[in-house]
Amino acid sequence: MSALLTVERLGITYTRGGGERRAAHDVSFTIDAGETVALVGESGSGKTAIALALLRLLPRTATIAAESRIGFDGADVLALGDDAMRALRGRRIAMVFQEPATSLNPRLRVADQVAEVATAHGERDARAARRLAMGMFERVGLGDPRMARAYPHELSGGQKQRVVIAMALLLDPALVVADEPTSALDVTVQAQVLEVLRERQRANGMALLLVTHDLAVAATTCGRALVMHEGRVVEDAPMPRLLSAPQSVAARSLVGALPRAGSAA
Amino acid sequence: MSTEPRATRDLLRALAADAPSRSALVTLALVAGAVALAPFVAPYDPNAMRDFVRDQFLAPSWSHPFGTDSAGRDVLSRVLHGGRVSLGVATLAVAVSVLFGTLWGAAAGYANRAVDDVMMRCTDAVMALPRILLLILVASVLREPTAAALALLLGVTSWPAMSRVVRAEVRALRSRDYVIASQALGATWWRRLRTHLLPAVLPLVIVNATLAFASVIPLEATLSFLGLGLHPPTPSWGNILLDGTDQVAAHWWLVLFPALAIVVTVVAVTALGDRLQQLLDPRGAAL
Amino acid sequence: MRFALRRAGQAAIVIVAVATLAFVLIHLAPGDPFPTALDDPSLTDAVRARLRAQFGFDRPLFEQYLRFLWNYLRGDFGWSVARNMPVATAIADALPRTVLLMATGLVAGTAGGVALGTWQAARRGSGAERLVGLGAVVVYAVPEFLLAMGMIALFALRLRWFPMSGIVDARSHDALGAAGRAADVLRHLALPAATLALVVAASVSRYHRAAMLAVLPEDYIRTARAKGLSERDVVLRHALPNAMGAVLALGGLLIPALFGGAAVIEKFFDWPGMGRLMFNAALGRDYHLVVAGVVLSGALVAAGTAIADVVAAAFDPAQELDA
Repeated sequence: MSALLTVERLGITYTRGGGERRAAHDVSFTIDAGETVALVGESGSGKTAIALALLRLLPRTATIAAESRIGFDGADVLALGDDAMRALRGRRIAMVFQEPATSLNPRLRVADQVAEVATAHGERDARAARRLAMGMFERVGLGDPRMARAYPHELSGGQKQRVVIAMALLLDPALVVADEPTSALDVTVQAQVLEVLRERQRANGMALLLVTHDLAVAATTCGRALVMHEGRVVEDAPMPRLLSAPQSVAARSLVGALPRAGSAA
Repeated sequence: MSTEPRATRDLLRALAADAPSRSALVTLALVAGAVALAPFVAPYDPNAMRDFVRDQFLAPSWSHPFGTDSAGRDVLSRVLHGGRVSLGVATLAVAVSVLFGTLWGAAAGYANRAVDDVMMRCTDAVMALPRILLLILVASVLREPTAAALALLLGVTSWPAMSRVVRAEVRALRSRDYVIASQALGATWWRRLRTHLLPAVLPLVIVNATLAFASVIPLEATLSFLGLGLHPPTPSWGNILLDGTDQVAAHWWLVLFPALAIVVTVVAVTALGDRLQQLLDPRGAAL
Repeated sequence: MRFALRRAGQAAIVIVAVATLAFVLIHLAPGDPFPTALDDPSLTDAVRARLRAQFGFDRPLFEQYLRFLWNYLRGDFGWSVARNMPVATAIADALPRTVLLMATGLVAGTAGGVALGTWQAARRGSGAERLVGLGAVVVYAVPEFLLAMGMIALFALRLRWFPMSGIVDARSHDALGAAGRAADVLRHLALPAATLALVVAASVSRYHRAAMLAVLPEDYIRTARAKGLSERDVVLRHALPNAMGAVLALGGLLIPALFGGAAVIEKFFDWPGMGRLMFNAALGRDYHLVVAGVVLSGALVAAGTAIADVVAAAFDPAQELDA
């Protein structure tokens, strides 16, 4: 069975002012359909850059190395034209961002913003799009009818993030890339949002790439882990093996920092 | 302080790094230089009228590169000297508005809510008056204002914008942690103002002053053109234009050269102001 | 909404402050021109006496101030010696014409400026954008009277598409039917309004481009792209409305300059509105008219900015309208 996502020798460089910064070196990995993979590492290890690269959402200041290749469902993502790329985004690959507070347009109702995903990909009937959005809201735990008219500033952080998840999941994408989806939330809310992600993943059978610096979050949600350090993938292992026998230095320090149930700090 | 000279040098270097602002800087340097050295560079005395009838309205030639005006005066010399006057007025006006605006704005930003409200209503009132109309009002009373009076007038009508910007920034910074911390350490309000608030406000003031300069030049030209500003024989870019308007096609040099001077200077200053804003005030607080 | 009321209250205070300022200025001048304007021999004794009584020129200054405010509130703006009629009458004719010119210029200029600013932000860095950007700065730099001159030279004199001045064609206007008369006015409106629109567009496009460039890097724009929206939809549906909010707020700063620009343009095109009235009044030392013009303009500006603020707040769902 061929993989859903193939990343080969991905290199990303940021240019700022006069200097360059290599965010990713020679990163290669694959993700199969329905797999849950965590991309773990400390801040600055290059995780977010890779996530953005998959949807070609890197800022203008970033360049992707010439030898890199990203294959998704048979297509060469880096070689796609703008229209083809747009057809992929939101429909076959979707993204959940880190900051719910700023990820939503403050001037539009959240229901409209979610429905927009459908209309952008061919749904001509605005009401059908809205019904789809409201249905999705129910499935992520935002079933309150007042959501139909709500604006972002009226929602809590956890609610906003559920909206973003609803947006990502609306058209049943094959791959969802979640970049630190819970880092900006309170701990109790984190657990709830993660549960939503897990549940939807089980129900839809989609592949999930969860980018996070928190190994505990990764461990509860994903079956496999890619450990990154300074722009390189240093370990690629199934989650149980990583937790019990980490090979790389980076992985060992991450595992070592995990709180153990029942022990004092 | 040791950091300041270095900061200025860095700023100049950053400004010069970009091609458009490099040209703007060079242009401005040329204009400022030509204008400042006018008494030495100008070929004739700007007010000298030699033979009134014979020398009237001469087209540009080798002896008069910019032609002559209705009184036989050399236009090039008048444009150069006029530049001194126009730019001098603009500089003075901006200086007045910076001084007054910064003080007023800082005071309002630092004061309590009630005083701040009153001060800002005053500012709003001055801002609500369209500058031209206010200037008409005053000019109609003063008849023939001197350059200094005009500069003062222009400055007084420009300070509201500056004070608003300063006040907003001071207000925002007042509650910042490091300011409160310094208060806890026993610093007086004056010291807090000087050490923390004014340096933070400085970039905004610079940007605003530059853009204000760019907007005052056409204003002075307009007033002088309409007979409400500087009157001949004092040359100003505005009143040189006045001479040519009766027969624009026939006396095109009287319109073209002062107009070019104004447009080139204002474009250069505006370009510089925009670049300064990018460098010093990316959040756009100085608008 | 309470916000609107509060803003209206603030505007009222500003208007009073403007009137006060005008009063102070005119009385500071040497020779006290406001009352002495009435010494003009062309006035009849009856008019002089009435105005003396109403404005209280022999009374203490503070009482004069109060009477001044009260008279203005009642619509009595004094007497125009140059035109030999109450100031209010002179203004009543001119004001609607100015409003027509300004409204047309403002709407056209704002639309043009927003379109231009949006295009500039979307095409940032391209050669075309830099060229157009330079053009915009040049138009911004040129004083209005030069722009007016240029417009007249090109469109009125050379191409002869539009008339050069005035509001109607003096010879034929009365003979035309209602539609013809309207067309006549519109033909005369074209150039001055276009000039004003150019001035407005130059300023608005600068503000708007900056606002768009501030909005485009925001996270929710990235979200919109991640949803697969076309670039056009991203710019028009997400970036533009948010940038316009900033521009509306800044619009308040623009309005006083707009008045000034309109005044100069009126003078140039001989458009019989408030601006031309004021210029002639200033040159003719018609002080009552000048003061009235200043106060009225200030009032209009204060009202305009208040309206702009309320509109901006109404369109911003995050604003606490009932705060």
